[in-house]
Amino acid sequence: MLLRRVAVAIALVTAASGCSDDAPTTCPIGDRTQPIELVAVHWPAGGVVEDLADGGAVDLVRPIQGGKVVYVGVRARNVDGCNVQLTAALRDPATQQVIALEQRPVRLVDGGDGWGRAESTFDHLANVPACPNAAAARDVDGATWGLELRLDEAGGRTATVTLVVTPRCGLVGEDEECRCECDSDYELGAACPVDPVDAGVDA
Amino acid sequence: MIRTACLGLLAATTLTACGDNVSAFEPWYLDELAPEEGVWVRTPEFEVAAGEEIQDCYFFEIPATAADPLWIDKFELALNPGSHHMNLFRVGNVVGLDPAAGEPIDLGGVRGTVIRGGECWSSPNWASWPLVVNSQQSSADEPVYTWQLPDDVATRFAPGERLMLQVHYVNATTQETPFRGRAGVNLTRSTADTIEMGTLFATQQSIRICRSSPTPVFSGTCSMPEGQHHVAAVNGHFHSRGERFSVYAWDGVSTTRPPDAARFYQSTRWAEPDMVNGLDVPLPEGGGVWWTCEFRWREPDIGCAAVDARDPQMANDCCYTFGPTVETSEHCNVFLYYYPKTQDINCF
Repeated sequence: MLLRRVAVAIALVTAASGCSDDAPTTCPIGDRTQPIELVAVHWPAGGVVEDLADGGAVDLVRPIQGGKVVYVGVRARNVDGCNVQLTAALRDPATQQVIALEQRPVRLVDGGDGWGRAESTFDHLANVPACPNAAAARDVDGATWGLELRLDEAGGRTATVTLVVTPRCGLVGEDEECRCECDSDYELGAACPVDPVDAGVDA
Repeated sequence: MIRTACLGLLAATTLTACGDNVSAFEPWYLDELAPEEGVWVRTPEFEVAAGEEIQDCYFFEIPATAADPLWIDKFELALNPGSHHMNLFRVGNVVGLDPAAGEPIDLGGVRGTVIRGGECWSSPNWASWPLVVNSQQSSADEPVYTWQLPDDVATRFAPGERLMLQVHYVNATTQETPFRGRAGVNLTRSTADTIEMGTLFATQQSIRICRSSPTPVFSGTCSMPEGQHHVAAVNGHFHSRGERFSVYAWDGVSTTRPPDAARFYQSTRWAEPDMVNGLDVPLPEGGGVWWTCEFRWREPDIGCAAVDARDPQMANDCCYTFGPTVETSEHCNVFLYYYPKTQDINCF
């Protein structure tokens, strides 16, 4: 135990003094003595990353592996942009059940206005796997869901932003397949793009 | 100790065989099943040349003469050494990987078709195809993975149902195929089981393991449908930059990693990850599973140019990104088996 404490202490001193090649690079954005501030963002299909308003729509997009994801993230300040973990979750507001969650390291780069923004799109935004979704009691598309975005700094500082979003299908070439896979009655393996006969609401 | 000595002898034999190493290999053997016993499938042997990765998709049907439905309570999955994986899927919505476009082939107990490479590499083609079973076990001393399903539990097939057996072999720097590639499957009929096995296949999208951020951790969740479910077996899959793969029971509400006490799978072996079966892990109702992949970047044996060439961001940071090629890309996939089945589940 004593040896362990000594080792930890040495590691802390080394990291603080920046003498080790293993010391993580820090990228302060804003004033890190202040609380982390977040603004939700999303990546609309065919567009550029933009702020996401409470109640706004987010595009459901077919990613490289298949299925349908929403690309969401944050811009932030008063944060270490090189050592943060993003967690994004879609939650059913009625039951509080999380129907999809993804957590990944992201890198934020100062955009020149004091806010850190995702360094790139696919990799530094959450790819939240929304459809197909065996847990969703209603269609994922066209319905409102809670979106929680949390940013955790390596040192333990954290911030969360919560809003309501409406995932939407509609991309050219993917629309019918998307509605099919996002239907609450969809069963994996069934032929799409036929929209399943719906026992619930089909937006 | 005896096993070590045998392997040593095998290696010596191989080295002195002047390239004719096929003769040094004692092939695995699986029983050929009569129709009343089940279904058996054998791929032909094939060469995996040095530096090559091969992925072939074999298609076949559950014989239409089988009783309706066909219940299976034992899987035997055999692989010559060097396989990266073998996955068996139910053929769903056909996009770019069409069984009818394959070359006819004799698969022993059934006839089918094969598509070699090409669309068999493109994962969106089977994104909506439910998993049946998988194996990553292909060591010379344990080439056959046998899984007797839990009491009263079985996998159900409809007569005539189409299946796809995908076989991936590597003979390069990260994995080697010392002999020739070959796969076999036995699906043994059950007569008394009544609880259906379901599957869950989940993968992390857009992963990125870069020289400048060498120890990333990716996590995801997969929520179960309504009802009480038990995990029977699980295995994780990543490539050689993967250091630790963990799967937890998850309450379906929390957005932080579950406590260690909820972890029911952990593997640090990327090439031959453990398939843990014999589990009976109840998942919280309304919950599901949480999985985490911990990676460590390493210099690619083949140099960074091939890795950089795959990077959609073109960051020139030697970033391994999502993809099936063992040498140059990474995965973070969960294969999980549960009962009673509500539906087969994919999360990605």
